[in-house]
Amino acid sequence: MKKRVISLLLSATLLLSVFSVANAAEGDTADTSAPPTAGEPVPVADGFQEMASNDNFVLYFDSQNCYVAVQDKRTNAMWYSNPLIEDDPLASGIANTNLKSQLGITYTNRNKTQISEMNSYAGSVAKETFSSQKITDGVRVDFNFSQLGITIPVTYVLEEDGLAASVLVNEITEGDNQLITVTLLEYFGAGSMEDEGYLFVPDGSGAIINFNNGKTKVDAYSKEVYGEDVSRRNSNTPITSRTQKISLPVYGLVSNGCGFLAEITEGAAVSAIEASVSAKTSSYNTIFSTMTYRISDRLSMRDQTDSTSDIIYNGLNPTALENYTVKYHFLDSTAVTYSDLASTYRTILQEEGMTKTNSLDNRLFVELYGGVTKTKSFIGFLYQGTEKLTTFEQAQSILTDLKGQGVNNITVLYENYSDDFFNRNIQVNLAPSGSLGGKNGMQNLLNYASEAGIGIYPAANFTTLPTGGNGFSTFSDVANAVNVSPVLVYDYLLNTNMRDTSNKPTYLLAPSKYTEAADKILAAMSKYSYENLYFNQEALQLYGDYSKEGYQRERAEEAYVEAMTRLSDGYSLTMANPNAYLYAYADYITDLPLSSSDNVLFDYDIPFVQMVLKGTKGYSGNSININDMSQETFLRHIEYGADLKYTLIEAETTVLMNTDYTDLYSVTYDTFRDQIVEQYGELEQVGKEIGDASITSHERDGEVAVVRYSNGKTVYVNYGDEEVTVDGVSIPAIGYVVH
Amino acid sequence: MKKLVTVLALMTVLVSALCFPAAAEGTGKSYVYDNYGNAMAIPDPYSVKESITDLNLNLAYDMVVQGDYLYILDRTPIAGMDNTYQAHIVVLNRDYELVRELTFTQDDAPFQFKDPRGIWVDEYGTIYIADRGPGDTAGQVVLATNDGVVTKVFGKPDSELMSQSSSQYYPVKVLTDDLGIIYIMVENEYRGIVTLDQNGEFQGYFGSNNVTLTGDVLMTLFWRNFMTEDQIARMQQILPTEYTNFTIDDDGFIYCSRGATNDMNELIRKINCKSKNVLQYTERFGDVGLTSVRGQTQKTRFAAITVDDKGFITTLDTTWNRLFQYTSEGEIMYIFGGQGQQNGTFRSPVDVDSWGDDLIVLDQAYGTVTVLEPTTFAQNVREGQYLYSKGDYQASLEPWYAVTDECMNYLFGYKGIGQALYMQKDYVGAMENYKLAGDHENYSAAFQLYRTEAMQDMFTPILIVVVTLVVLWAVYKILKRVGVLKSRKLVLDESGKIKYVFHTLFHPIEGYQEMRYNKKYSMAIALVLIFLYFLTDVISYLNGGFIFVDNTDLSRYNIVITFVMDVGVIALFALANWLMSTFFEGKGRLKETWIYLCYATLPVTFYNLLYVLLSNVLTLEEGVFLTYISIIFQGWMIIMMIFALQGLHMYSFKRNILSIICTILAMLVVLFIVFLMFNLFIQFFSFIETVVKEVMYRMVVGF
Repeated sequence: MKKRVISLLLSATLLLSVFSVANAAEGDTADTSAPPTAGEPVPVADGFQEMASNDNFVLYFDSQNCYVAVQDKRTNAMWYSNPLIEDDPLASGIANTNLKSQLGITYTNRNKTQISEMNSYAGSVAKETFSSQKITDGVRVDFNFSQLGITIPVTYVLEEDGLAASVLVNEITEGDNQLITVTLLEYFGAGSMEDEGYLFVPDGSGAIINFNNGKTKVDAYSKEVYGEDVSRRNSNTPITSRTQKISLPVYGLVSNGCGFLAEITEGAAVSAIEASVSAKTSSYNTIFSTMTYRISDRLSMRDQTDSTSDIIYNGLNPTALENYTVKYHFLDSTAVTYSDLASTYRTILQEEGMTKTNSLDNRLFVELYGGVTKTKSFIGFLYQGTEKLTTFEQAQSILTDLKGQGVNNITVLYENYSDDFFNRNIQVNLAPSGSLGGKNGMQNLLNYASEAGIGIYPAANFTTLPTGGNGFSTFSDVANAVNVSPVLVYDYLLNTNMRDTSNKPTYLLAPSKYTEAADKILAAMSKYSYENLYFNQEALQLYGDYSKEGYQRERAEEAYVEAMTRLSDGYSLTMANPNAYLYAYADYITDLPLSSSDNVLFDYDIPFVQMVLKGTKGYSGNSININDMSQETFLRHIEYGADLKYTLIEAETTVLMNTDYTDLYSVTYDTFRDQIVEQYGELEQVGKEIGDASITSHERDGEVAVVRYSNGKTVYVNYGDEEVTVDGVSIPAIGYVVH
Repeated sequence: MKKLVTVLALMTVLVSALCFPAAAEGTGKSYVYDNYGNAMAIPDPYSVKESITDLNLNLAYDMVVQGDYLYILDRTPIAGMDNTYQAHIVVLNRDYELVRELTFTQDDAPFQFKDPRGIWVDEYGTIYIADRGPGDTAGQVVLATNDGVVTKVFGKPDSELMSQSSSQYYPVKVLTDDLGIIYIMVENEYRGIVTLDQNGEFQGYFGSNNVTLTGDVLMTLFWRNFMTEDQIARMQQILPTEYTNFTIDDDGFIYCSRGATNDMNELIRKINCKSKNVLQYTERFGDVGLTSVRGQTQKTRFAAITVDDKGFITTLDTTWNRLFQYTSEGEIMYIFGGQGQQNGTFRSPVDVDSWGDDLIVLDQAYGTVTVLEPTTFAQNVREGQYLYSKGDYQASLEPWYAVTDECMNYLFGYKGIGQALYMQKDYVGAMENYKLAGDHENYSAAFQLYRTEAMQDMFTPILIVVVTLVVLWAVYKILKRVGVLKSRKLVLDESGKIKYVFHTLFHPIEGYQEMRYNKKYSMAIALVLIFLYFLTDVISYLNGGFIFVDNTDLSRYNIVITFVMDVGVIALFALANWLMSTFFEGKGRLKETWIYLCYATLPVTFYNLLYVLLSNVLTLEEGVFLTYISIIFQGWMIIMMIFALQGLHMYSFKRNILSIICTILAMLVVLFIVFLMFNLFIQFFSFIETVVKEVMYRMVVGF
């Protein structure tokens, strides 16, 4: 052991001597304010050497502190990995050394009794137990946390449009301690208290945190990318969040006019995006990401609500990732806006294969529920009976009625129509339920729809197993939690925020079985001549299987992509708020959030996701009738370029009393008929002007939002109580104008 | 070297929470309770109008609306001084813009507070600050002009009624009424709210709390007799739950909120000048059915209360950081808010105030002021309730219909429709809606009037039917007497066994003896009888009138329980009685005991059918009639059982009673053993589950 340390130290010193020039003594680094600074080319700070360069950028490296810097030749902006200051008066404790670190890690000791924190400066650089070497187009640093026995290699590689920073995950070595998370480049491009700018977080539709917004009493932002992993819930703790998820693996920073879009290109499924403002833990406004190398969950041994005996379990295997990579795309502008960040990401997605949907005309998304199971009584003997909500025939009459009222373009998302649903099976066989009209009834509906130009999207769901069946068993085919017992998914009670154990739990299909399930769905598609499929949010949730051979989140993501590749071949898919990796496979997207989580830390919401998708995919918000029926929400649809979605049934809503569907508390078609027709008409007018143009810029000025499109049209939306004139256009109170 | 030490020290910094997911971002979801205590989702009643984060509040405690301004009390430390603070007042205007900030002075020098906690501004602009004294020092109430010049300081009132044994005096909230009486809420003061006049003279206690007499209290009172004074002092005092906050409305009623109590009754009070609670609804405030989370019971604790112009009462719960809005009579309307960092959820809220239709929540941890405004949904609910309370029933219908259209879970809306329809004499419509609302009392009231109307309409047809029946019967009797109709016995009962079913019903004493002697009992008949007994019980539940039976949600009905209660109990009784008969030299066998007991259930079978009929025509007030009938028929069954066993076992009456008492004891023993076994099994399975999980985990991970 000792020998190894010595050899490492030796190699480190050797490397140092190779790289270091006659560098100034410690404390002599220039006391510059934080980067970036646009305008005149500014030379790099002392101690940095050029490592690589291309047409647009130069990469510098400070081999003593392991700092990196990228100079953008186009804008002259200089981006540093760490602030170039010796001491930050506002930082205390570990934040002091975090400022000088490129990595922050958490780890557990062998007994897993506690999780501790460490960073690369305190654990490696200050002790000189690191080594660095030049590689093609970049530099590699191996941080050896000698006291913990953990080594983490990192590379920085210059690419055509920016810098790729990677943790070489498969080269990480551990000793007695187990590595839990790795935070990469916490202070990259961090904005100081003198800088002006903002942080962009992709929470929900997207949100902006202004630099130095003074919200120092509020918790810093931290959220898993691609939604919560339900496999990791502790059965005995209250639910932590009912808020929006992150569905894009990107974040951004704009500082003094220059900006970057950071994209987690590898490992987004096991990462979290974090953001903090100045004067909270340091003088800097930061945004960065953290990778979970190995999960560590506090779970209860017993499946009882009042149990207080929890045990920390660490994942059996670390993540299967090869690398964890964050790519910083620096924007070629000195007046970067968040609209530019969005168009940068749209270009990336299009280059990766996201294609334009054939028809982007305005449409009405109608989510129909076929039926529900309800406890019924036969002379006192209770049984689970079928309560019909919308039969196939009734569905047709609703559609005929809507068409007659001028609602021409309709996409139907049909839920709870299959035997699978009523038999509590995984929804992959998709046989139309006899009680709703059977195979013939469905065929009639499909025939009518194809003549009328209406798309019927029957729902499928290969993630949820209420019970075993359809070829999948709840013993061998389900995802396990880290304690190697099957994950049981419960609903959560609104008052206690604890799980509702009065209903039976459901299981989750192991992600390794996705392709098998997809093949079953394909067989059903031809059997019942379906041409489309709908996946709701539950059917698209990303979760890990933490058994020994199980697919963790990063492999579950791949499994989803594989399954959807098969299913989208020849069929049209509609998905409810999918994560970015599935955008390429969806023609239409529903339930796209029209707001962020409204975290107190945020300063305002932006339609980032919409700016990425508009003109490429058709999308809607959540069902307007069971969320928020206010005029403001309708205006939000116009501002965000979203179509309308309604959840409807033919029956009276009150039949849903005493069922599991009481959250659909207002869904009767008759109640909303007139409103739908009116709103559809308005959106159709707006849609005609915009066509399939994309959004070039979005601004919000007080109560007025101005959205400019690539075809030269501009949409003005006024949320205020008074008429306002912008660009010479007068916008009525609580109204909009397309110009 | 020193640097290395700090570095080493930092290495062992522990992270308290797991990496992520981080602390709850927001779990806010609005809900109401249905009649079974289930939380049901509703549209959000309030939305965030404004979130004011830039007020630079250090430790805000209280706020008050007076005239066109909102005053926020913020406690700020004075540099270099312990236990002394400044009261920093932030004043916002109607548009929630900062108009001025002020601190207090006395004789041109800054006034030093001990611990400013409560603020009140009267209509003349005088500012009152409740200044809680730290430790054993007495607090005070400070009066100042609207510019912060301190004019009066009232310390602990000098009165015999005030406890003089210690100098403790912790005023935390203060308000004044139209007459200038100063009401002071004093921490740890259980005798009520302290009142002073404008000169600081003690006026007495107001709105005294009563101690609820519970078992715990009685035990404590008992043990107190044997304790030393020292021990008593250390022991928790038996005190009524103290008030946590208060407010006053334009009519001079004082609204108080209280901390959690055992029964959760009277957690809010509307107190008149005679210290009486005048709310119509006084029971079950706050959340219901809250389980313990990690061993800690999560009970609602109201920390602040406000009443708006329309009389709606809103309280702030600091257990889950929720807001509860009640009608002016204390009936719950909806629950919203929640813990979290989302706008509209709170981290550590300390006060709620209303201003017009707005609600304002002060969050101490974040130093934010959140302004909420009612959504269309809440506007309709409030409108409907307000119009109804003003007597405009017709107009209240429209908002109520809008409410139930927007949310079928909102049972309070159906009640509103029911009330409005009732007032318009549409009793059928009212009944329908009361049924949806699960409101038995009002349904009964509507039904009574409906029945009266129906009876008037039905009078002639009923009279015709009755007269016809009487005439037919008379004709039949006459014809029979004159011999036109020959009386002819139907021979269905060839064996003569069925006869005994009815014979024993009216002649239990000799009937059962005779039946045994003639061996005219039958297992088949017994099974039919017990099945009818069970079946009619089920029917009486399913078809009983809504006024008496809660049968709208069938999923709550468990037929197995009915079966066990009906058949199981009789079977257990038969078994126990047969076992006992060996001690008492009874002659009956097990099979016979069972058969005899089954025969004896017949009266209750009749009663069940009668219940179906009567529960559908009687009102709640007439329900007492139903109770009498139930007692008669059940008594009948018991008498039959007693004589059945007597006749069967050939006991004397005395011996029979003794054996029945022993039978009941034996049943209890059996039940106790079953219960014990059941518990044991549960624990055993729980243990097995743990072991299996551990073994499975170890098999994968290695030992």
